[in-house]
Amino acid sequence: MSLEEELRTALREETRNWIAPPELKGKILKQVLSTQGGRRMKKWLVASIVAASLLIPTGAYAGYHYLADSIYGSQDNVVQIGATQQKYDELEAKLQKAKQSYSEQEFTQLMALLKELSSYNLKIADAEGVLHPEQLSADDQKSYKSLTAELEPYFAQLNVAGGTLGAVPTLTTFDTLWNEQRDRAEQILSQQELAAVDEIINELRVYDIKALDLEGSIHTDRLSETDLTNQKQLIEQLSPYMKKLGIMFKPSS
Amino acid sequence: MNHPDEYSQLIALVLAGSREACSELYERTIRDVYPTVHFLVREPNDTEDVVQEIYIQLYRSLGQFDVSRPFRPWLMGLTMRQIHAYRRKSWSHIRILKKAEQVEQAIEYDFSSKVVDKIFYQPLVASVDRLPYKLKQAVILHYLNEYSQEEISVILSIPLGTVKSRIHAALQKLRQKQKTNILVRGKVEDQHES
Repeated sequence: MSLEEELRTALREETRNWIAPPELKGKILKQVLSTQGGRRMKKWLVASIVAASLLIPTGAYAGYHYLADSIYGSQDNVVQIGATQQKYDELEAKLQKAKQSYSEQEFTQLMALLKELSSYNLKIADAEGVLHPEQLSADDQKSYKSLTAELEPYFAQLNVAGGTLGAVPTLTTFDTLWNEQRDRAEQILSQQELAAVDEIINELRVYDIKALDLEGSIHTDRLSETDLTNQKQLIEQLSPYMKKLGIMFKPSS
Repeated sequence: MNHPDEYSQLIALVLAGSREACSELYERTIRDVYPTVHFLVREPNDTEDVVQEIYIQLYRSLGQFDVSRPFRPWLMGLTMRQIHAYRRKSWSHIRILKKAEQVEQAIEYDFSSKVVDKIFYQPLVASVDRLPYKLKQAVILHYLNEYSQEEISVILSIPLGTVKSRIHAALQKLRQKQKTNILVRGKVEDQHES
């Protein structure tokens, strides 16, 4: 026998009994089939999560969402009813504040109650905007009363917790505003956005200083024409960020 | 040698997700894969791990396999790569065994597995086992798995010339060992009696 023949025979003989244990097959097939399904499911899961997460942010940031709109439909409706743009803004500010302070659940509840309330109010309001609850039917009156009762604690909270986002826009410097709001902003804005706002505020500070007198009251007449234009520009730059934070302000001029 | 067509049907079924096809693919190939792995990977526990890895890799990369290519050599190439990876991981383990390779005695392996012998019955096989890995690999592929030298060239991704020289070198060493054994034992007959 040649060496090669010997080799073949010897190796064949030696390995004749080398059989894979049956448990091995079970183990392998189990793992293979589970990853097959598992990976497909995982891919599906990942895909759906990515899709969802892509949808949600674009929904949230696609322009400013007026919370008051969900109650009144739109700003036009409000004007028709007899309220003013200012009151609408006030309401909006309150609602934004409410959104920040309440949990998601509480806020959704509040909004639902408010919607109900406004549908009633529409029925009972006259041309001046004065509410006449007696115009409602007996049943409606009961519901209306319980509704207002439910809403009372919310209103109490909102009106007490004044702050610079109170019903009335208080006259304040950008500096003060920013100092108060910066912590909150840190949570809401991204690093980049925060830095951008910091920069703009710094520039606005200059004008603040000019306009401020020793007692801290603001005299916008001290600012020159160019100053005012610049200030206006800076404010415009700020607005997208402020919207994100739910801060609304108007220059006093 | 099996026709590639035989496997391409089965492969298609596996890719479609058929459990039976997966099972059959295992049965058809394990008789090639297992002994090869067992021979090149010393530890029996590790053998099972490596075989498992091989099959996981197989099912994973089956989608990219070109069915016009012969299947068995491709699988064997995959097998060799997994064994190679295993060897790289357990280099310290191999260092000890390399020393054993140099010893001209039958070495007793502690196989806890029920089906495997403790010692190689054939001294020739023991000699093969003591060959340097690359030579041993070539011998196994050519004389145990019965792949042609061309196929081995594809499996290992090395030039045909390298395959030839490795087999040649292996045979030379084995002949030398045989001669040495004869000298030590004194008789030619002993070689065949064992």
